[in-house]
Amino acid sequence: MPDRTSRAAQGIAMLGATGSGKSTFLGALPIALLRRAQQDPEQRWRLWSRDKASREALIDMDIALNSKGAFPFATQRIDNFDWILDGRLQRAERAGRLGGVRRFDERVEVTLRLTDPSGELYRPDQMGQQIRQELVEHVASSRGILYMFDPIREYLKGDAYENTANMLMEVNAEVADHPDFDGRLPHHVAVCVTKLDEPRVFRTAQSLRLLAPDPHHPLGFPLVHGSDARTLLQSLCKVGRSGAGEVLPQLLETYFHPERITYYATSAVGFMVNRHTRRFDGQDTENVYRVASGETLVRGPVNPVNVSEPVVWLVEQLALGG
Amino acid sequence: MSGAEDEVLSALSGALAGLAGGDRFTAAEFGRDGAVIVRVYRDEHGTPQPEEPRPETRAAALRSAAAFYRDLGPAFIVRTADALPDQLSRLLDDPPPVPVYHCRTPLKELIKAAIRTSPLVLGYELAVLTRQPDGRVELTSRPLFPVGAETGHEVSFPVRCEAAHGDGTAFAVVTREPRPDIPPRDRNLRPVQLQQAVVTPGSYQLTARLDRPGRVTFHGVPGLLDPLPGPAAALRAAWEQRRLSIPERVDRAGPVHLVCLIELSGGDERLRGRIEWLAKLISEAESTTRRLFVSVLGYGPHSVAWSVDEEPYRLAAWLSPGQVAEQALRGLVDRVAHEHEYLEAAQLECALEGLARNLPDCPGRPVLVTAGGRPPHPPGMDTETGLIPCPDRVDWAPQVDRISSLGTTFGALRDQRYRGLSWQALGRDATATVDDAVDLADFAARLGLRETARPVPFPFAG
Repeated sequence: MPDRTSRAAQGIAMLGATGSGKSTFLGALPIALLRRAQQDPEQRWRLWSRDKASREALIDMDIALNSKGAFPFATQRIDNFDWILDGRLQRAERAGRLGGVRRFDERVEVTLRLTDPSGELYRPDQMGQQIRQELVEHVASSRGILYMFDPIREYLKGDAYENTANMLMEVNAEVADHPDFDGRLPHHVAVCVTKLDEPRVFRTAQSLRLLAPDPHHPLGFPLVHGSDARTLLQSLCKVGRSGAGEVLPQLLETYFHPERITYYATSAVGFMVNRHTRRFDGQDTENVYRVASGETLVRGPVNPVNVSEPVVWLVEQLALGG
Repeated sequence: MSGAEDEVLSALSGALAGLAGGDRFTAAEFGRDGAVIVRVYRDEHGTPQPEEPRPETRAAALRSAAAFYRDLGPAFIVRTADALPDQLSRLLDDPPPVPVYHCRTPLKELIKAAIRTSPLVLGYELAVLTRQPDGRVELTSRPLFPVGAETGHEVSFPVRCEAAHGDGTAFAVVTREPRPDIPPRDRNLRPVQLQQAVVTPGSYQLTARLDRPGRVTFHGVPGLLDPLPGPAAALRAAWEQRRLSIPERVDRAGPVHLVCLIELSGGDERLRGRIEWLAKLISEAESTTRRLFVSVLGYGPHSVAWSVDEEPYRLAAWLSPGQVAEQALRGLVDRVAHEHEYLEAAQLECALEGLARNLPDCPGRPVLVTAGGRPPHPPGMDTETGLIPCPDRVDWAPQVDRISSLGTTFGALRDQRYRGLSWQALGRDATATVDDAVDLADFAARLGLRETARPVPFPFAG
């Protein structure tokens, strides 16, 4: 039994453009949490919902991605997901006058909310609309943000800076009158550089020597350390269509406290696993492909890369923050 | 035949037997209507040839007995009527200095009969070609009938005909110039008779029969036309024309191995189109004179997902006759595409690798024709195309090089929307898009599939 229970109702918001993989990320989160527990039994997190529609959407997304290899587009039938990430954190506190430390288990519930599953509201041309305003308020009221950066969209469209700058300006305006506002947004931000399995993204990381072997990974997946993920983001922004994205890290670090931002190179579906060797293959990393119906399917098993990590990190930060 | 005719024939045979070089003998027929005077000589082939003297010579000779026997010098006279014109009777008044045979058969018929049965004085040969070890072709002859051969003599032997001009293959009876000072094989050949036949290249058992001096009948070669008519000059001209058209070399057309690589993916309609073009191409290739082997390999996409079974490329025919390969090709329409099939590439690289491994052991000059659209899977991750790599990491380019090193010619029948380096290499010698009209004759010619041997006007000694 946990010693205490805390509920962070303000929760976590997700930001990301259309096609940046927010839904896929969430669809991969249940399996990512299970794999996390598989590697570390102390890390048992589960995702659930009190809201029926969100619960059904969660089940649909999980089954679509992990059982059918399909991408969870069906989730677009609702506008909001309202999920709860539920797990335990080990906490410590001072005990007694002698300054001793007492450790205890705390059950944590954090709301994970996705208000804009399609990413449409993220566009600046949606400014002023009521539903966009709801998104801004939702982000402003949350304490953690999962920021999804899509390198392929940036390469093709180059609108990450414009979208993000507009959104942050609006969120900033929303919280600026708060008595605790110290000039920067109070959120913890997990920046996710998505689609690491995509060849162009993978090769960029490889050419920058940001890929490190992970001797503990059961399938031999390489990893990008958190400190290198920011470099990867900046490099990918440099080759963006507009070039404006190059200052995206600076933009984020201007609006948020830099020490509250962490960077992750992620892949919701993970790297392709060679069917014969059952191992990662550096010559064939992409785990998705398109079929005649126009659908995009997953090629092999879903082994998410850095999907649970940013979420759990945010949960920990929110729990620590009380 | 009466005894009188036998006497005349005997006299004629004797005269013919004694006829040599530029000699002539003359015989005369005295009949109710006048005189028939025939001179017989041997032509360059030794064939006895009858001729009549010029009218003025004849008229002068018939003026008196003295002129007749002096100027014409007949060997004998054949009297075919009891009552003769006065002019002829006067020539017989004094006992004639030459034999006079009483016979009802006209002299010309008797001469013809005597010539028909006279033996050859020069051997007859058939003009044939021989191939020298260095590939050069030489005109020579093969004996037909030796000196002394008579009517009815038959000989049989094999000959081999190659593709010829429109006139066909010439079967020419020749004699060699009687020059004792020259070795027999260096003596000029002179045509006695020339016959033509448009025949399918191949070997034939030829039978030659001597009908008479100057006339040979051939059997065993279909479609032989009658001997060329006309004067000797026309015969010599025809002979010269054919002799001059003998190619310096005749490199035997070697066998061809036509390999059809066909992409099975891309939809039924496309597949049927590819099959039709390739079937027509096989027919084009078969219409030539060389031996043809045909192989057919069908290929589709690799499975790029765990949920889809890998379907390896399919060997439908290997070194088969054209018709068998065409049937196998048409049997490829039964493929059912998986709904989760990869659309962007096909396992062309693996089919090429299989070919590169097996082609060196195959007979025939390879001709590789690829009918398809999708590019091969790359050997590794390709950020330019985004194509998923071949699961066996096969690179198409070295396979093409390996196949090319065998002297292969490459043709591509590709979908219009696909281009790229792989299709450039695979269509190096001939490219057509299956969506457009394809000039298959031209396509086949570019690949050397319609390459015919140089026309050869005479048969080869078999």
